[in-house]
Amino acid sequence: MTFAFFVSIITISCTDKKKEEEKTKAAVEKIEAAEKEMETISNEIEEKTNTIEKEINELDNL
Amino acid sequence: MKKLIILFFAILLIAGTQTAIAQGNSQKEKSKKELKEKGKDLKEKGEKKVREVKEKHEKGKEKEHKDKDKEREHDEDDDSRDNGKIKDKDNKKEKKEKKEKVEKENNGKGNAYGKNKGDLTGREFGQARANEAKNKIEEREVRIKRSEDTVEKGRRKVKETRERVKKQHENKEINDKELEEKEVKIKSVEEDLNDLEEKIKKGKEKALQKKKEIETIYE
Repeated sequence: MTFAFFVSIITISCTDKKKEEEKTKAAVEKIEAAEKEMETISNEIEEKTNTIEKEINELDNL
Repeated sequence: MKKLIILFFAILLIAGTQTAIAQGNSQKEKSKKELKEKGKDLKEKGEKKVREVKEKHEKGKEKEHKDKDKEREHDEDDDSRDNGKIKDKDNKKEKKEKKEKVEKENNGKGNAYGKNKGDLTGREFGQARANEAKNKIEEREVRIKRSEDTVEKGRRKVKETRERVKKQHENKEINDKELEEKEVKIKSVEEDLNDLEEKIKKGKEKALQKKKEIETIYE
């Protein structure tokens, strides 16, 4: 009886751990996706800024 | 669901122990006496065995010491010749074992999300990762804000250039065609500035949104 109880507790805790692992995995994936999206946006802006800075400098020659 | 299962098993356990107690009460007194007697016998037997084992152990130690002394005397002669080679081999083996151990430990801490990362649990690891991501996004925000300065600078420059070109035309330093060409260039810069401004605006909004998203994950 107690054996069954402990086995059930162990299985419950194992499934809990697995669930937590999956939860964390999903959360980290979401975080990484957000991070990546921000990185691409910021890189795009920086690239555009660099080209505009060149254009601005060219205005001096007009 | 989990709570229900635990409750179910707890009830089963309690029920089981209660029936066992009920059945066992009548036999308890008889078995108590028997157990006491058995316990005494076992104690005596155990003590005897412990004494025997201790004696054997002490004898064994003495023998080991004697053997070791003999071996040392014997090895000292051989060691002087082969010591270098053997030591090298041993050192290499030890190093290999250490490396393998370290690699195994590192593999255990790999990319499995939620498993213990050092002393961190899955949730703690996720929270730490979320904080890290938030900091990175804030860094990106700062970089985006720097681009705002470029936009401001560009607007000023466009204005100045337009006025200068106008004056050049008024002073007849440039003709109509040249004025038109310069105007086209200024306009294209202006359009690019508008484009960049729009991108900065969207980037800032996105940064706020992503930060909020990350915050809500572990609230």
